[in-house]
Amino acid sequence: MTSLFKDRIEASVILGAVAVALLFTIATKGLWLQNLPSLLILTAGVGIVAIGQAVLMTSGEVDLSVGSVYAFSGVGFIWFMGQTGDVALAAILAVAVASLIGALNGALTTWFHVPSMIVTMGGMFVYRGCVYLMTAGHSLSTPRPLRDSAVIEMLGGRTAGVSHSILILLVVMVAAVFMLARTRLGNHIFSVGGEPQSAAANGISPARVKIIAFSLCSSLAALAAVVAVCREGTIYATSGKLMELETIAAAVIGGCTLRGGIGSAWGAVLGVFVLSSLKGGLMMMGAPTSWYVAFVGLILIGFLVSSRLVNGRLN
Amino acid sequence: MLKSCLKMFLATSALTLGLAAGSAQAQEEQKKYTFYHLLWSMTDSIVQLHVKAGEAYMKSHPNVEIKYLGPEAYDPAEHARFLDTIINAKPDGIALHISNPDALLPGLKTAREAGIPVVSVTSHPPTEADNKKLEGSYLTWVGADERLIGVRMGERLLQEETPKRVAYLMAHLGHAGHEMRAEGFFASMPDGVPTDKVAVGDEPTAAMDVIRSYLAANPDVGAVFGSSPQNKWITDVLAELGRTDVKVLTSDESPSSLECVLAGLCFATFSQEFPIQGPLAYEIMYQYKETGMAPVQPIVTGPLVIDAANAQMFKDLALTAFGEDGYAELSPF
Repeated sequence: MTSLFKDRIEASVILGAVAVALLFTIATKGLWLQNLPSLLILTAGVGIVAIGQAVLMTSGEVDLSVGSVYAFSGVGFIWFMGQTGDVALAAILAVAVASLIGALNGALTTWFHVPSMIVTMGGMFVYRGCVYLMTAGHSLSTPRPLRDSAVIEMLGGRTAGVSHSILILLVVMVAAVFMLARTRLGNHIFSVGGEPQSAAANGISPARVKIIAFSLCSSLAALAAVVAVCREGTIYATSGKLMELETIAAAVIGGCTLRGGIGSAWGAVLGVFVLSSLKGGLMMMGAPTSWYVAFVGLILIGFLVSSRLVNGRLN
Repeated sequence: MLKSCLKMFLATSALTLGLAAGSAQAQEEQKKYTFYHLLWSMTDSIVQLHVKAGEAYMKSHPNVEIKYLGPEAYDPAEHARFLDTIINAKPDGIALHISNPDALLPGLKTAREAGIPVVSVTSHPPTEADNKKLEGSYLTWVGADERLIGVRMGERLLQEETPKRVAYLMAHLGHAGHEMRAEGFFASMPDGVPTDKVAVGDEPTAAMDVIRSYLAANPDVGAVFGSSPQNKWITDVLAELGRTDVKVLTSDESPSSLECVLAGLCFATFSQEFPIQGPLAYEIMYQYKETGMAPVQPIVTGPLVIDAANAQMFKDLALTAFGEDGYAELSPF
């Protein structure tokens, strides 16, 4: 049982999450627990994007444009709502546009052999620039006549005090875990990320698999944006800033490697939980606000080094 | 036949080219001066008041063109880079917000050496040391006393109640205007009231997380002083935590801040007369170019506290600048 746990790539993030929860609960005399519902909503928002990032990293690529695609999709969702007057259609269109963006990222990366970090960095500027153009640098809100729509309530509301965004995260997480573990596509993603030559020799097209992974990653960023707009009613020009780094950090904490071939969707979600807990928890413990960012960085580095020491598969 | 067609073609081409050249020259003559207004952050909706005022100024002064530039979010180094870019464009004048004297000093020195007149607009560093550094780098300053803004807002809060603890929420630590505003606000509080400066950043989710954590850790906070882009984030977190006891102070007469006050979610905001700051700065540069004359004293344009009693009046004024649709688009409330 111990070795089974130790061999799991998520072992360190499970231990980390438990340690963080215990530490902050004790250090803040239970105050941190009161913040848990908000923390889970925060985890849901970034977690959906982190799942996409984890899947892509498992295929051996990385997406630096997710934060910008998130904001772009949020703005697009509101624009489509205004144009069509139909929330569901607007949501589908926003996710569809994002999936095309992801496919374009994948095509540029695989067909032209440009490193994904460069392609998506370019995308990060392009889509953020589009957001600034479309919002004139400000915020956009859900059109007033559609604010009481059933779809908005379904995606952004609450049931028995539980935010629907948390339920959506759970559904996406279960689907991603199933896809990675039980489907042919999941198998191909691991193969292409770990041993691309062997995968190609076995008839798997690395380009096709990676394009799908890129597309999935951008689509999930869009889904997260749609859920956020439904929950909060507004998207800002600055929404999603640094989300790319946060999701990559969460995916790595959760057991992914930058080389590919190893990854976990639910590990990435736990990674987001740990990261989000650190920020809020340190503030609740009274860390000076101008210092806590550095604290988070230090803890993150220490956490990653120790997880590599514990789990040989990650080295 | 072919020859005459060719002749006609050449004559028409020459005429067209001549007309185009003449029109370009006329346009060049018409736009005698190009002024740049370097804004601190394009994501702060209040900058639109400068832009709108500039549009009106250009209508009344057809020979003046005003271009607006600025980083999407405030960053001293980025602000300084924008200043360098503007100087390279060889403008006839620059209006800018001196948000960080040390970062902008090299650019201001270059502008002075290039003979480009500069007017400091909106907040301006008030300390003697900063002003000594900036001596000779600008013609004058048009704006509000940022420290006084903090003091006036604090005094208005104290008329209502004495909070047990207050916080100033900063998107970016080190922004001279906000640092001064926070200093004035804290100075206005009675002895024994703890004060906190909280760095929240400008990403909504992250900022809301910081605000939430800070409020949860400090249940005695009675008032928070933020700024216009943060209105929705602060009020959403307060609603989520059920904290109806916290008074929210915000900034400027932006649609977001005015609607926040009118909805009873914000206690007060203030005006530093944004609509007149820009035109005054442009007029100073214009007169300087025409006559070499510059004001001998700074032009101080505020502050004035806006609360439930006078918010509607400011909304009416803002509506004349933004129009109904533009106003609604800029308010998340």
